[in-house]
Amino acid sequence: MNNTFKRLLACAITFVLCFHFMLVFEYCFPQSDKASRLERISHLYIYPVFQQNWGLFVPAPSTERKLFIRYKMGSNFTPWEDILSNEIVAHKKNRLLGNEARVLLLSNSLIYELIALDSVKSCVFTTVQQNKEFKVLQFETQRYLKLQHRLTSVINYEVLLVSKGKEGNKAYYMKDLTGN
Amino acid sequence: MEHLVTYLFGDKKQTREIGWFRNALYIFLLYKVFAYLYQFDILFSETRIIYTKIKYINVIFDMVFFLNNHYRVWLAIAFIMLVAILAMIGLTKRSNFFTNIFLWWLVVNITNFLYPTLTAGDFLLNQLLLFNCFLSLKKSSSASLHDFKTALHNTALIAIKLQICLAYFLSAYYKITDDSWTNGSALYTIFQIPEFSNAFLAAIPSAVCQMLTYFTIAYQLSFPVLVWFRPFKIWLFSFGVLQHLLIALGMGLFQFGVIMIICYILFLKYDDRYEKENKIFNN
Repeated sequence: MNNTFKRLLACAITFVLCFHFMLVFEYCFPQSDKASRLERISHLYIYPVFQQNWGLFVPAPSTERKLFIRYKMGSNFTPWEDILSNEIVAHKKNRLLGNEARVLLLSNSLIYELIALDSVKSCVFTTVQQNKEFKVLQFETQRYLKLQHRLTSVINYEVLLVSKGKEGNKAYYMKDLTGN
Repeated sequence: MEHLVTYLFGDKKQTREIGWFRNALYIFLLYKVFAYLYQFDILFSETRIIYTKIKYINVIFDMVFFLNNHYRVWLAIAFIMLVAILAMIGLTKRSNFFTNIFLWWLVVNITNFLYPTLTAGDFLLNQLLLFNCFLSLKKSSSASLHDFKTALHNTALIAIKLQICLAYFLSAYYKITDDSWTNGSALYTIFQIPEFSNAFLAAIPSAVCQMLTYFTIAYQLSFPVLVWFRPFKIWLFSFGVLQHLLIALGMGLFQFGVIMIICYILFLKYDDRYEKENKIFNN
């Protein structure tokens, strides 16, 4: 390879590298400092192949969240089961078994639903919530019940979401949920 | 310009460290395969609890969401088993550009399928696997091809290092713009949440947590600068490994902690020239 070609290639490589990291930086940098046009380009380029997020533990989580669930067996409900805490305990017993994914899955869905309910005071919901965050949480809890308890028929169940933090405690009780 | 050409087309840098890095990466992928199979019911089966939605925007998009968009149980099993096979090929030093790019594509697809369960470590792993495709330890028969591969190798190496430095810088920047981190209460608050803690971490006194909070910010801010200076590396890596072990085993973000430690391998001896010059000087 002759020297001119090497120089040209070096320039091209440097350009590609700078372009890549400029867009990564633009995509990952906090929202308020972004120019909208570059943001659109970086979003097109980064997502989904170079997707990343480095706002780790920012803000520091200060709320303990619990996800209780119970289902109808015959004419009575089973006792409340704190499924997120159970998964956390299982993950603590052995960090190597991949329980991390189960904890993150339930925890993330619960966080999104609690954020969606942020402006709502503690209450009982007698009708099924229609927001997408709850649909995801409902799907996961339903499937979780079926997998963990080997349920095959239609299930009637209830969900209780609890958040305990510095700002106070909140609880949302979702009644009369049905799943196939 | 001459420096740039010499850097890119000179010797392939850090071949020994890259060998270790690759082995660690492939072993980590084998561990991930084990975890996927162990949690198969909940993550990949017909009755999986992961909520998935078809995402079709264009052909390129479909390629990285192939498993998500064309899900079948057998396809998920095939993806996982192929990751295991390609990781083993890599461990036996028989991998090449094509096996590595195929491995990256498989892992990106699995990652996108498991989107709600991901951590920053999974995203970083995707980047590492992509840049890993351009690292080459074997010699080529043709001189031009060898030059080209050397340039790509050295570029990929610097790209991985820049990616890690960028991750630390951004992580630190987010922290210094947040009240809970700047007032020193962040780690104490996090350790009181059972999801990210255990009995040992929860019992750490507030004053110690405050010190650790500031130390973490200082570490993340200084890493992108100090990691290029040999005398600081032992201190940086000692604290870094301890910190990431604590994240992995104490806070429960196991895969994130491990992948960050794997990244350090490439910084172990970043400057081969330094050693050569020292040898010449000593002789």
